[in-house]
Amino acid sequence: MDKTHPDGALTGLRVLDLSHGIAGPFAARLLGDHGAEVIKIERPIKGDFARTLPPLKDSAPEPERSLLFQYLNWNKRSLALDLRLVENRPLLQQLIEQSDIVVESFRPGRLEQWGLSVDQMLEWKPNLVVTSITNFGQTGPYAQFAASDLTLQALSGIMHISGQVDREPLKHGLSQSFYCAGLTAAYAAIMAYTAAHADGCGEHVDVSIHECLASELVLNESYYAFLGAVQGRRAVVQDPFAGEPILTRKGYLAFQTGGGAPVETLAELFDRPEFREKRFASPPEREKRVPEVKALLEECVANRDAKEVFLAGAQKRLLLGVVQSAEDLLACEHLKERQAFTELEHPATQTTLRMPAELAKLSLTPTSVRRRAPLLDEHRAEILAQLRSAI
Amino acid sequence: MTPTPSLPLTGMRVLDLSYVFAVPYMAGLLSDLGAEVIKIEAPHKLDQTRGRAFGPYLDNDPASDPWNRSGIFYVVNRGKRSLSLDLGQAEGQAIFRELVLKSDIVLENYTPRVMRKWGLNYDELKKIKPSLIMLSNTGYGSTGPWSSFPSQGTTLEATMGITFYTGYRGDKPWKVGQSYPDFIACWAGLNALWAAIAHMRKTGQGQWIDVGMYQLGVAMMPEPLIQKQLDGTEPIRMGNEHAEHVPSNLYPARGQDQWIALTVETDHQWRALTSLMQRPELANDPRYVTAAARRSNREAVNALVAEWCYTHEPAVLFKQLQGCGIASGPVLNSRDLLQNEHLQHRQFYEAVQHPEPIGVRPIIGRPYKLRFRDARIKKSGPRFGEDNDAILRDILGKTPEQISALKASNAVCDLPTNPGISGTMDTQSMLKQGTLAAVDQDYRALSLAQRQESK
Repeated sequence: MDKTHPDGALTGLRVLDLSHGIAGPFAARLLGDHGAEVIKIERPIKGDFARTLPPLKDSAPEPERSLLFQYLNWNKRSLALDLRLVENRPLLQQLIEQSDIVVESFRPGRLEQWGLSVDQMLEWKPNLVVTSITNFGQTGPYAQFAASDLTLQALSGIMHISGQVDREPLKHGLSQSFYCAGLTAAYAAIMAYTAAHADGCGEHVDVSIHECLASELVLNESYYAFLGAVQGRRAVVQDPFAGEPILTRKGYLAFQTGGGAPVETLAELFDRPEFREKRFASPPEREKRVPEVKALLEECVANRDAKEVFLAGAQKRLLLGVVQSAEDLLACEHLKERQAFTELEHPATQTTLRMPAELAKLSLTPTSVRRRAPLLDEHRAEILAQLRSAI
Repeated sequence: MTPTPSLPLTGMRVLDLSYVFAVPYMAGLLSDLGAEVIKIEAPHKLDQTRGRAFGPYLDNDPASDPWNRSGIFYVVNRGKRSLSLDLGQAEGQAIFRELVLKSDIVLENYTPRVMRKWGLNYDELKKIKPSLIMLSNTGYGSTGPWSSFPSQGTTLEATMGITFYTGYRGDKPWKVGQSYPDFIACWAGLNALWAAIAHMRKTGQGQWIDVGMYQLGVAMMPEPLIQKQLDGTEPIRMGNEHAEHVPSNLYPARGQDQWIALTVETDHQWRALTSLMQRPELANDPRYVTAAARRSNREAVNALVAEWCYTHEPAVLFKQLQGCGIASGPVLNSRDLLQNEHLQHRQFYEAVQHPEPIGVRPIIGRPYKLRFRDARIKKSGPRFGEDNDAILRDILGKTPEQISALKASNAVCDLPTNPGISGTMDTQSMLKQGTLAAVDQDYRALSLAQRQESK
């Protein structure tokens, strides 16, 4: 292992990643980023189905075409193993006995069918933490239901409050459900490991992706629980200070009140004294003339670039956002200075990509990317030799 | 001796100096796991979740102590104690330093200069307690050219990129809402925090965690970052549709504002759908038979599915589609969620006793279950300054005279000194605009029924 990286917080921990897709592998990778040694078990021949998820490098050989797979699986070694086969059980038992955390994302009951129930794993390794990540959790009437990012956002309530009131509910873009669940599963796994390590009792953590999303709705839930109010979608004409993107000459801006600076600061930013007048400066007055306020703001930014206004406004302590795409993020001077991106080379796709790698800075035990994502079954010989020498 | 499973934070004390959602929620979730969490509140600056900005007040009535009646405050701050302490005063800082000596974790989300100004940055605090873990959450992190910029979830979601990839087909970028960046910051922060706790248990060493919400938000959207570098293109906004899977969309169902979401991922599922739709002739129609064919006939597929959905109730469609293994679900609102059979079965919402007149209310629990350990909301969120005397007396050993002196100098306050404007939510105009779908008078009975059923 590369010794140029300082130890992570989980250095020495062993994680067995039986999961597939986005949420489980992302969780296991986050443990690897903290220094844990992660062995990824994949089905033979095809491997994790995330190996087919776009973006794909079409010219690379199967099953090594997915660049998203590479993002979700760095800091791991790969071993292809058919979990269904009885003859593989002794090897699995050995792997589990040598693990601190197992991450899995099979449909509830599947592992049990294969003789790999959580009870069995805990018998093999009493202080093991098994972290299961599934659409609706291990129990309850929906436990066996199928789901997609879209249907999870519908069933969690997020969509009911997203979008415009006279149009259809609108989902969050991309595949947010699975990343949300990956974050939750990773911290819950470390939490349970901390507990198991202290008292010697293992744990089964049952993460529901559906509940991860429903957990975001702290305002929506309390509207009903304390008032009986059912929140709807956004108004047709929205308060322009509630974050709705406003078009500029180049790009969109989002405005919000309540930063370090009063609204009057906008008078200075745009050289428009109207913002000092009561009808625009006072919140209750502003609420009475939303279309007028919106028109004024639109006029102020029509001949300016979003990024430039964002920088000028934020320096005056106004709460501003600038709508950024991947291109903007990759060029962002702040992310560069924070070293948020790590450059990753991969021989299978012959690519060099800059990817976000550090989520938070730990002063003593920084996270690191120590190895690229594995080829399917790349580390068979190495892992088996390690197991033999451990006996 | 057989080991007994216990909660991982029993015996640990957390000082929570934070405001609004991300960090307060982190601290609330830690209290579910056994930690004693003390929320330290500035007498002159209420947490926005105690006030009108987020509300809502119980029964939309601010009464004489609005800061003790805000629903969202009680969801996010469950299980905590409250100490109202002015950290701008030397006496307040001294009390805080004494508390740090007796605590394990400090959580805060002031802009980077504030803690330094008070002499309470990590380098100072670790002199008091070397094993201390401190987490600072800011919009942009403590370093870099944007570090001093103010931020909140609402504007950060634009900057971090999610807004660009959200929106109706052909429309402008759309706000995703509900302070999304706060929740991913909460979970990413908990990742770093638990890693630091594991390290501290192993080595006795504390450390400082610098969380920048912008940066971690970017890590939630690898797809466009890869695509841009691979071929220079960006994913387009396509509403609720999916680039690969067709149909995968939201369709109006029977009833007012009723919707069904469904995703067909395989050709086999498409055939099953045509059979549910009682359109067997579509099963082998070359226009739809393969995923690629359906992609090139997106509009026609959507029209066929929409026509079917429109005549059925969402609950019926949901069960039928799931019966065929097709991912689906209705759009649930807040009332539906509190009464949802699956969430009730899993006891996702916990019935928590609050001080009167609030009484027992359902509060969001945790998105995971533990099989052997009793994680739960242990008590309601605190009233403002509720534990002032108990904390000063029991943890710091202050005498009644010392406590009175602290209150006389306003370093500790039993009431907020600058509570700001309170008011009611204009539910009538919100109902008219549609930003509220309904206001139920019998909501307490409905959530009460829910509670008894889940027992």
